[in-house]
Amino acid sequence: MTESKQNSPYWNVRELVVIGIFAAVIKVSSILVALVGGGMNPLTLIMKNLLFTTLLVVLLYKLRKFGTLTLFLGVSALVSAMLLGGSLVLIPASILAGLIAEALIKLLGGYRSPAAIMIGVAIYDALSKLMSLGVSWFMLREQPKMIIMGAVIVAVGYVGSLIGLFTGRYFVKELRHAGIIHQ
Amino acid sequence: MLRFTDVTYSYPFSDKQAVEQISLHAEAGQALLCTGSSGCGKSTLIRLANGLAPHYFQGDLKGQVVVAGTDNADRPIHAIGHDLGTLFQDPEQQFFALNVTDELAFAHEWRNTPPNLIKERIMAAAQQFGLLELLESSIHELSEGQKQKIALAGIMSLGPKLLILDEPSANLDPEATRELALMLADLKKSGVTLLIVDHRLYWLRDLIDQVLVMENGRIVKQIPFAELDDDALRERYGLRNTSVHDRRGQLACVTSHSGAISISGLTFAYQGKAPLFTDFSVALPKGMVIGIIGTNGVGKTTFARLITGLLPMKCGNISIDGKPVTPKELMHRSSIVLQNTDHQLHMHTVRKELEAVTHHHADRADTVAVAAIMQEFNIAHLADRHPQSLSGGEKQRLVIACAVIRQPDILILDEPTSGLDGANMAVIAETITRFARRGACVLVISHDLELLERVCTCRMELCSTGLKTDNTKELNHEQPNN
Amino acid sequence: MQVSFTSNGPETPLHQMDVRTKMLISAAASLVVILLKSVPALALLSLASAGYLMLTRRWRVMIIAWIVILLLWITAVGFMNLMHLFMPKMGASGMANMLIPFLRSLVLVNTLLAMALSTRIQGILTTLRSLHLPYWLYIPAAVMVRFLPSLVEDMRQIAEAIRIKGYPLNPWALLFSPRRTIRLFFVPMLFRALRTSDDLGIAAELKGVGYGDRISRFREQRFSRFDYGTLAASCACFILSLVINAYSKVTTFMGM
Repeated sequence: MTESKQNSPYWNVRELVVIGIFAAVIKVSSILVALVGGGMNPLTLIMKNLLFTTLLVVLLYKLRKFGTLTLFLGVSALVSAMLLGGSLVLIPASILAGLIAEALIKLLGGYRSPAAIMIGVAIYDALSKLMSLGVSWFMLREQPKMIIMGAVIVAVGYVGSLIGLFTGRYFVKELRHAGIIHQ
Repeated sequence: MLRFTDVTYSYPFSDKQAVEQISLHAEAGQALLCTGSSGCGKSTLIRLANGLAPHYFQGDLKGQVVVAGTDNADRPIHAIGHDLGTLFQDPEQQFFALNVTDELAFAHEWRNTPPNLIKERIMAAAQQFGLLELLESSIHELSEGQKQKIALAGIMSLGPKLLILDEPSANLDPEATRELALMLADLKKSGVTLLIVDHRLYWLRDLIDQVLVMENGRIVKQIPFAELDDDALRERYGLRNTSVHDRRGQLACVTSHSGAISISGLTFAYQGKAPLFTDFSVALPKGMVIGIIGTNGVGKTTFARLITGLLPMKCGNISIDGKPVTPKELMHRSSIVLQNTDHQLHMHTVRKELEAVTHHHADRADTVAVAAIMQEFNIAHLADRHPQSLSGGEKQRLVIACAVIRQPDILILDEPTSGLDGANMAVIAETITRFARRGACVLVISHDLELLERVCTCRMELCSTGLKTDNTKELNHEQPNN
Repeated sequence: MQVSFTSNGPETPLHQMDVRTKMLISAAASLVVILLKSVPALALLSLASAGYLMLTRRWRVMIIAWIVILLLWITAVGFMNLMHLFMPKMGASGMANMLIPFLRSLVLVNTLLAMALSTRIQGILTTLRSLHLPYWLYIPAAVMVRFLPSLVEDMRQIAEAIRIKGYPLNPWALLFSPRRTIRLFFVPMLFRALRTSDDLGIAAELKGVGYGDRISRFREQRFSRFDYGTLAASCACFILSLVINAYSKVTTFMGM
C-alpha cells in the first residue's frame, strides 16, 4: 500500500506547514468573528473580511513565492468542504480567482513588491466575491432581484477587505520590529 | 557518536556569533548535559547537532559536526535523522496527528516503512514506554508527561543511536520527571548516546557522565556532575540547584477558618462532569506565598480561575477583609498570570504593554508607576523592544510586572518558572516574595520544586474530597510574615 | 458549523460513514440543485436530504437551522415585496419563483449540516490520507486540520488573558472598538501562528516529511456496505429528481 510522491522541488515542507497554519488561523478567526457578531451583521462582515485580507497579506510577505495564494486557497477550500460544509461549487471559482491574482502580482513586479501583493489580494478578493455572486445567481435565477441583497452584503464585506490590506501591511511592519519577518 | 571540532556558527541577519570554538565528544552510551543561563548558546548547540543549523536556519558555519561517523555537512537533515532523534520541550506543538497511534506511525510512513512493520514498531515502542492503553487516545486528552512519553516513543521507534533532549523536564511534574529519568537510564544502558539540555539539574545526578557549562556561546566548563554542587560555580553561571528538597509536605496547611480572604460554600463542576468542588471552604492569609498543591486534574487551575472571577461559581461566597466581593469586583482585585505568556502580550513595546494595563484601570497611563516597575523587574533596558521578541525569562518578568502593577489583593501565578534558568528563577522568586510582604495574598501553582522550596510559606493542598488538612502542620495566623 | 474535536460524542450511522461518501453527496447535491427548476423535484430532494440529516439525531441544531432558513426566506419575500411597492417596474414575484431558491438552499444546508455534525477532526485526517493527494496538498491540509482544535483552544486562552486585563469581552465592545479588538486578539494569534509554523516546520524536517520517493499508508479508510448503500440511495434520489424535473413543464406548484 504505497504511493509515489511527486518529486517536485518547488515547495519545501516548511513552506507547506506555514500555508497550513495560516489556513487554520484564518478559518478559526472567521468562525469566531461570525459567532461573536452573527453572520449578517455589517460590522461582522467588515471584521471577518478585514481579518482575512490582513492575514493573507502577512502570509504573502512571509512566503514570497508564486503559487502561495493559490495553494492556500485550494487547501482552505478543500478542508472547509470536508469539515465545515463549505460549498464545493465555490472551490474552482476561488482557485481561478487566485490564479488570476497571482498572475497580476507577477506582472506588477512579483512578490518582492509590497504594492503588487496588496493589489493582488484586493483583486483576488473582488474576483472571488464576484464569482460567488455568479454562483448565487444560478441558485436564485428565478428571483434575480434577490441578488441585489447578496451584492450589498458582498460590497460591505469588500470594504473590510480593503481596510485589511493596510492593516496587513501595518502588521508586517510590526513583525519586522519584532524580528520575526526579515527584509 | 557525536563530535564537534572547533565549531563556530552565526545566524543570518546577525553579526554576533551564536557559538564559538565548540569542541566536544560523546561516545556510544554516554550521557552529556549542556547547561547555562538563557541565551548562552545551548539551543544553537542542539541545532548544530541535528543539522538544523545550517541546513534549516542557514547562517555561517566553521568547523565540523560529525554524527555517527558522518559529517553533517555531507547529508541533509532527514538523513541525519536516521542516526539522531530530537525531543523538544513542548512535544504537542510538534505532533502531526491527533491520535497516539497515528502520531507514532507518522514518521515511519514518510520513510516508506511497510504498514505491517509500522504496526510492529508501534507495538514495541508502546510496550517499552508503557503506552499500550493510550494508543487510541486523542493527543488533547493526555497529560504533559504522557505527551512527552509519546514523543519519546515515536523517536525511539525509528531506532536512532543518539538522542537529544531540549528542556525535557520543563513542563513535567516531579513524578513524571522521575519517570523520565528512569526511561533515559534504560536507553543509556542499551547504548543510546544522550545529549540533554536542561535548566533543572536535580533529576540528572545519576544519569550524566559529563556536564558542559556554556556562557556567551562558549563551553566554559567540561566537568563531572558532582562539581556542579559548588554553590559559587552555579551562582557564577546562573544555574539552578543540583539537589532539591520536596518541602511540599512540610509546609503548614491553610485552613477553612480565619484568613483575610475567605472562600465559603464554593461549588463548581464543568458541564457534564463530576463536581470538582462541593461546598468547599478555605481561608487564605495575606502577606504569604501559598503553594497550591495536588495531583493532576484535582482542580488547582480551576480553583485559581474561580477565585479570580474568570470562571463563574455555581454557588459560594468570597470575602476580602471581611467584606463580600462580587465576581466583577473580584476581577479588579485579583490578578492571574497564566502559563502561556505569548497569549498575554498584545502591545508593540514593553512600555506600552505596562502602560495599557495602568491606563485601563485609571484615566491615563501611570508613567511613573510603569518606570518604577520596569526597574523593579529589571526590564527597563527592554522598554522599546517588542514584547513578543523577548526571551522566555524576560517575557515571564513582563507578564508578572503587568499583574503586579495593578496592585491586586490576590495574585496567582501558574507555572511562572517553567523553562527558566537559575538567575531568572531567582529574580521571579524575589519579586513574588516582595509582593507578598507588601500585604498581598500570593498563590503559586507550580511543579518547580526549587521555586516552591524558595518562596512558599504555606500550602493549600487539594484532594478529591476538597481541602486536605494536616492538624500537626496547621497554619498559625499569628506567626510573623516571611 | 460544529465539528467534534475529540473522539467522544454520539455514535450514529452517519458518524460511521466515510467522509468521502458525505463529500460526494454534498458535491452532487450542490450541482443537481442548480440544474433543477421544478418545485416537486426540489421538494423530493428536500425531503430526502432532511431524512439524511435526521440520521445525525441532532434535533435541536436541525430545528434551529430550518427556522433560520425559513426566517431568511420570509425576509427575502418581504424585501422583494417592498421593492415591488417602491419600484413597481420591477414586477411582482410568484410564490413558486420564491419557493425554488428556498428549496435549493434547504437541500444544500441539509447535506452540509449532516456532514458537519457527523464528522470528527480525526476522521478528516484519516480521509485526507486516504484521498492519495499529492504531498504539497496533503501536508498543508493535514496541518490545517491538525491545528484547528489547538487554535480554538489558543483563542479561548487569549480571550481569558484579555478578561484578566479587565477589557470587556461582549460582542458590542468587541465590534465597536475594532482597533482594540484586532490588537488584543490578533497580535497574540499572529505570533502564535508564526511560532507554531516554525516549530512544526522544524519537526517536519527532522521527521523526514516531504522527502523520499514513496510513502506508505498505515491506516486507510475503506468504503463500507453502508457507504455504498447510501451512495446508491442518493444516486437514485438525484436521478429521480432530475427525471421529475424533465417532465415538469411548468414551474408552478399546486397552483401557486
